[in-house]
Amino acid sequence: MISEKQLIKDCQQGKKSSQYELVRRYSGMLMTVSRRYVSDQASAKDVVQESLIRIFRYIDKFKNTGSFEGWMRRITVRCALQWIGKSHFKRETSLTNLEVEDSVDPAIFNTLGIEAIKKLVEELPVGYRTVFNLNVMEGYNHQEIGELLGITDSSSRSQLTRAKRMLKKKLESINITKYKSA
Amino acid sequence: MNWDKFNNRLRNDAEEQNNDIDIDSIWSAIEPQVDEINTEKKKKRRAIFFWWGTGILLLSVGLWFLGNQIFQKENTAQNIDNQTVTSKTKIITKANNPNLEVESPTIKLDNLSENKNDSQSNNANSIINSKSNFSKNKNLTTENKSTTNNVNVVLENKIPPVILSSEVKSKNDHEDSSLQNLPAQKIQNENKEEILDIASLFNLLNFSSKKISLTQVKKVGQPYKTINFEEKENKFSIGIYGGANFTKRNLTAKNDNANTLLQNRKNYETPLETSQVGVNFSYKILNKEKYNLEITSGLQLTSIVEQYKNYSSTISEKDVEGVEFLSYGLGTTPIEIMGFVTETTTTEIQKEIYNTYRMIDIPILISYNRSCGEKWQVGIQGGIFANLSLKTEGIIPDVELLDIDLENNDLNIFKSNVGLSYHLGLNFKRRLSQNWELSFSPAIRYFRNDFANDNYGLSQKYILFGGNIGVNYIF
Repeated sequence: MISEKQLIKDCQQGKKSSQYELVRRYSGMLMTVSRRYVSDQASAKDVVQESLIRIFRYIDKFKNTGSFEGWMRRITVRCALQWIGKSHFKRETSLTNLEVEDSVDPAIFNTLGIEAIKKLVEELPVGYRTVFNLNVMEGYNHQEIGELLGITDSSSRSQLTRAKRMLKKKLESINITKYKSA
Repeated sequence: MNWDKFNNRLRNDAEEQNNDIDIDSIWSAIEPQVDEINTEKKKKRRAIFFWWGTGILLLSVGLWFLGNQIFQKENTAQNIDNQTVTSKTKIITKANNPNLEVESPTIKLDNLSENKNDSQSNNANSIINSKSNFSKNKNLTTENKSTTNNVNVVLENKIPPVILSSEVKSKNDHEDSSLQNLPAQKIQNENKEEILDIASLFNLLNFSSKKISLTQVKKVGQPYKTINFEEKENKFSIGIYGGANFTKRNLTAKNDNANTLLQNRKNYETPLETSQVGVNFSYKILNKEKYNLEITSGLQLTSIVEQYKNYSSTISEKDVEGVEFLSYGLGTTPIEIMGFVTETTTTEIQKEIYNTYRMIDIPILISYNRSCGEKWQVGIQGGIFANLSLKTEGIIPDVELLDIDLENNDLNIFKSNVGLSYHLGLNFKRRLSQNWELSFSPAIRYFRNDFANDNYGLSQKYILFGGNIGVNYIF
């Protein structure tokens, strides 16, 4: 199996077999990232295709200084955000600055499973879901999220707070239902 | 914090999952565009190689010519030193000159002595007489040279390899044939010995009554030619220059969605000056007294600067606990009723950013110059600039009016190469000395290609009006 470094070098030189190999290796990961931001499968596939084209176009600029996967994920996130349309987040004012004092018991994973929780996250409104994914899944801080989405970092914080609150409510309601049914 | 644990668990579990995806359908969807990208990259590489190759070739040709000229000058200087002839020595050679028709038998010593006795007083006649004696030796050929006793004389002065044949003419016709039978003399340089006829040498030196003209005929196939230094061609020049331009930027929207962006950029961005520095190398294809035709190449660094100014404000509100209102009850002192009060914060943002577009180009220009007097030249110049690279720095807004950092951005708003641009201008040159000249060149430069990539909503092109001042060294 060809190493990542050699794969990148071959793709920079335009070797088609290596470009196919890159698609084969990383499409799944890119689809996972894309699905976090884009609700339906078909649109997520479009986002992945657009991301791959950009990856091949700008792969010459990748300098082997950081993680290649991280670089591809960032491109995919930007494509997904463009697809969503950043108008959801423009010039939002933060009305509240509430701290979420409640917490969620991680043991809920044992009850519900990762797929169910992911489904709940997908059900969140677009704005909440995007900020939640950028912060929790991709690891961006609020300043970076603010730059990506064109909002202030306090807006990003408030979006995340609301996302967590909503998610907690959903988790609790499912848990109660399950508990009751059990 | 349990949220941290929840987040970590969610992230780790999600990372382990990979969505199933149909690889072949994705590849077949993107393959045509990937092929296009590969073809574009190959063309770009070829273009870069071509323009660099052209520049290097021009420089190499110029250096080769320069080397040739220097070499020729050195040899000519040496040749002129060697051509100093201090006497009226007749030099006839047969050895390296098949074109010369010289009958030149060698002379025996005994003949010489006879000649001396005969011709001490009457110089001209002595030659003739000696020559008539020589006619007895007509049968002597060059093959017999080795058997004769010849007088060896080493010339004091260097005799150059230029072989001259002499035609000695005389008034008396009957002397012609005998005069032709002049003794053989080998031409030598400092390393060889000349074999001279002493008698004829003396006779020549004392020669007065007869008119003898010597005409020098340049031998065919001579390796050296005399160069008159006053007619130096000065075909090459190398120089440095710098200049500035007014910048006219042309922004147009590619689609309806970009109209807001277009308005925003026009309102908040101002093109400033453009500056350039470079080195050039020129060669005069035609170099006449009154005019010349010159081709110029080199390397130029151009920098276009724009100012991006943006004023905006953000308002944020938050509820804080404070005095909600005052209650005036029955007493005279108001009672503060605490509650949540909205605190509004307005932040004014003022941005002033300078965006730069830096280009490295190879100019290929042709100019036609006419002389105006001794020191001035005026001309017209036109050609192309081949762009090797474009680098952008700064911040511009995107379609969503969000700021994009041009340096650290995956979107790549601008191209890395803008192709060809056209140049048309005038040339004013003033000669400062034999090898130096000052030049001033006002010009227009038109970029025919869009600076922005296809994925950006606006098309961005430039026209520059300005000029350069430079100094050239001519050789």
